[in-house]
Amino acid sequence: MTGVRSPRLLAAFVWLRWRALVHGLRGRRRGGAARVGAWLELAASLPLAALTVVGSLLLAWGAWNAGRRLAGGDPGGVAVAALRVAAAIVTVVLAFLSLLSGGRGTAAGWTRMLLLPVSRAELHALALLSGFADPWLLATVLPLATLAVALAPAGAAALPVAAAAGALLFTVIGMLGTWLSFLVQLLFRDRRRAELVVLAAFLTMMAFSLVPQVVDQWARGARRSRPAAPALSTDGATRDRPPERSPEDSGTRSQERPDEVSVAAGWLALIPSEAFAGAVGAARSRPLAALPPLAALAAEAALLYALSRAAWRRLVETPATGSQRSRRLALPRLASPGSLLGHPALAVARVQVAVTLRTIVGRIGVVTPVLMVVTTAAVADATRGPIARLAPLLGATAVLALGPLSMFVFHNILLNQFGADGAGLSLQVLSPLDERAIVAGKALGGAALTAVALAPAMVAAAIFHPRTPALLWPATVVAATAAYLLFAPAALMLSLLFAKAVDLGHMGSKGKPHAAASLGGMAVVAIVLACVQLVAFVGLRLGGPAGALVAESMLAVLAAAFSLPALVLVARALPARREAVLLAIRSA
Amino acid sequence: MHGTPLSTHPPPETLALSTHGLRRTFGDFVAVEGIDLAVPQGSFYGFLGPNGAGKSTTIKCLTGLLRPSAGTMRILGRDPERDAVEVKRRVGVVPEDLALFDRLTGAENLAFVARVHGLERQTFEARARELLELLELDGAASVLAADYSHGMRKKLSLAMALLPSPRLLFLDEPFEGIDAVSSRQVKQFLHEFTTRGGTVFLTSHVLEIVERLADHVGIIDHGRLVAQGPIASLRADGRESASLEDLFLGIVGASANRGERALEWLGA
Repeated sequence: MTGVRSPRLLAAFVWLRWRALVHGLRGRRRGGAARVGAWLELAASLPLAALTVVGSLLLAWGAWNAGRRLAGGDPGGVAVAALRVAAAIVTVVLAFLSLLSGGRGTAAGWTRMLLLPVSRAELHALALLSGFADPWLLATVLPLATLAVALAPAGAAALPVAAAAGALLFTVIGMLGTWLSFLVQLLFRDRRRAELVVLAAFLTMMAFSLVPQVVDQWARGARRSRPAAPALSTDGATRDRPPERSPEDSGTRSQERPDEVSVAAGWLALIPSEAFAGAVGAARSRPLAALPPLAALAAEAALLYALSRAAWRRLVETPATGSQRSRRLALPRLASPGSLLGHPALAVARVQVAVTLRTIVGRIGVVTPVLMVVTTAAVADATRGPIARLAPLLGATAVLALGPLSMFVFHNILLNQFGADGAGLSLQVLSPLDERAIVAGKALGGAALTAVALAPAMVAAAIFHPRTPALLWPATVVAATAAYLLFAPAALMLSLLFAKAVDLGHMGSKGKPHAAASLGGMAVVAIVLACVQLVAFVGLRLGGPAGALVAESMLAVLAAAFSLPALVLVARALPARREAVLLAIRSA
Repeated sequence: MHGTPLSTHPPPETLALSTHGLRRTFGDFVAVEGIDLAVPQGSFYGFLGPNGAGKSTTIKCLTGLLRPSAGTMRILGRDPERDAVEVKRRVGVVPEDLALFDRLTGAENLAFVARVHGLERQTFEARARELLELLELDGAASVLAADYSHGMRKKLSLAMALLPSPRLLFLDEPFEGIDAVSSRQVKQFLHEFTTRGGTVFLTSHVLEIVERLADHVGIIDHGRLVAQGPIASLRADGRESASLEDLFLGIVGASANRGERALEWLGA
């Protein structure tokens, strides 16, 4: 393994990180809104830091108890089992966090470093070191050290074995995180590929919510295929007893399994958390038996180092590839300038929809309501418990929540409508568009996006809930209109006050709106949802589905009466905020 | 002030652009300090200045991206603050950030400009095809602007500025990153544009380009306009054979020979 040869280089690198941190905290804050946002973001990071410290202390407490129990012989193997689970969870969580941080980072920061007279091996070592400085990873040092200390009374070899196992596990997790981070950066160099990966990851996560139904189906299938239970006796003694197996049957099964189990166990022992638990478990009574798992951990660390170095070399030595596709020249069709479709506000709306639906955030927004309808139906079907019993109560008004939901799934865009345009905002400002056209266009664009998400969700809801009263479907559309009319002016005003430069190709903080806009937007959506649901509830009680439709229509009229003057106010505020918004976007 | 004193400027009706006491501050920092620009109609005006002199701030004020702290502006006979939409109908801009929607294709970016300018479909299609072919972007018209190279983005921004057939063009470093072939074509049609009465307001650090194209220049330094007028008038007083670079360095107070004496340790 190549180390960092020059302490000066290491010192320079540490200084660089330090200055970046200081300047990042200070920032260039323009105006009160930006300052409020900075404080909110700082406030949001404090619970995370506290969680890290508390988590580290809890793990250390657990490690101390496990170590003491192991030193005392670990009756029942509880301590080893606990270590196994804890080490596996920590490894998976830290690897996942590395994936996320890798997705946010880029190799662009290394360009300057590559131009310096520093070898690439040294730069790779620096990248590894910076990976080991990750606070989440450092939080594992205390529990690992505590475990080794707690094991010390068990024998002369216990402390060094546990310490070596801990150090090796720490190294493996660090190397794994760095390698995964490099891999993600390689994937994210191509915009289209990165978007596909994020979309696939999102759909996979959503698919996990279908697991209860799958498990339920599997369990039902298993129950059906099970041999019939013996007839009930009068005293019910055999009611819940499982079918008895003959000794021959049990013997045949037990003969089939040992080979498979031992092969699987052999491979499982190579998993870092298993190797760690194996080495620590053997530290007290069989120190020599700890050597193979320690060797496995060392080999894994070396392998991960080699893999991370290969990924690193590919990252810095090969150019980023574009995704250009040359096609025949085809120009979009234009409506007549004098017609309604040729109004400049529709040009703004059209751009907003097209731009949003080409981003990962926008595409996820379109599929989310449908997936939520499907998964909610699946989970309710699978549990058949309290959720299923609540369904008749919620069902009537739940469908009316689809409108606010379809609106909320685009909150990353709707709460940062000017910031999300990026340099396109300059184009709108330079174009012969008055403020009303820009605001109207954005409001119409948001409405179109909501409709794009709402329509398939309603179709899915109709399929999964065919007995929904017919009048509730138009009531849902009217409720969605009312919700959007109430939300749109607030969203536009929040977008004006708290504009932020974003990359909508990211699901992380890079793609999210300003923290203050997010908080404000969530509050508005909650209020709007409550209004829609309350009105629906009252309407249903008074006149059934027809009553709900009438009630939602009245709400929509009131919302329109509020929304139109409010949008005019937003348009009047735009000239005063335009410059601040442009500066906020440029200064990012 | 070098060049033409303001009192001898052409009458206001012949000016495509004029400012009086244009000032812009950012907190305590004065970026532009009361400049009086006079850009005649049909001229090719090169706006020069060292880094941080206030060129970009001035051009942003003129194009409506920044609001002046003080002073007045007239663009094509109108007040750009009061008649912002009307002025923007007649003006094309290639700004510093190029003002593109990254998630729209080249053709869609052009279509957006056509829609907000109210161009007829046939006009848009004819002009867009010609511009895309001239700037060699026709093969990439269906590619997202996010996937364009820097030079392609600059050419697309230029095409978007030209599409509505403006009377006045603001070009911020238009040739940076553009290949030699396209650069030659752009220079040619910009020259043709001015001969037909159009006006170009150009900023560039490449003084050779400005010297070859521009007939008028304005030089800004530390936020103040230190010289303005036809290039020939700046060459008066025994400096007839001086290059624009020499004139520029002389005006902004930099010594051309300073580099010879500096950094003596370099290469020693």
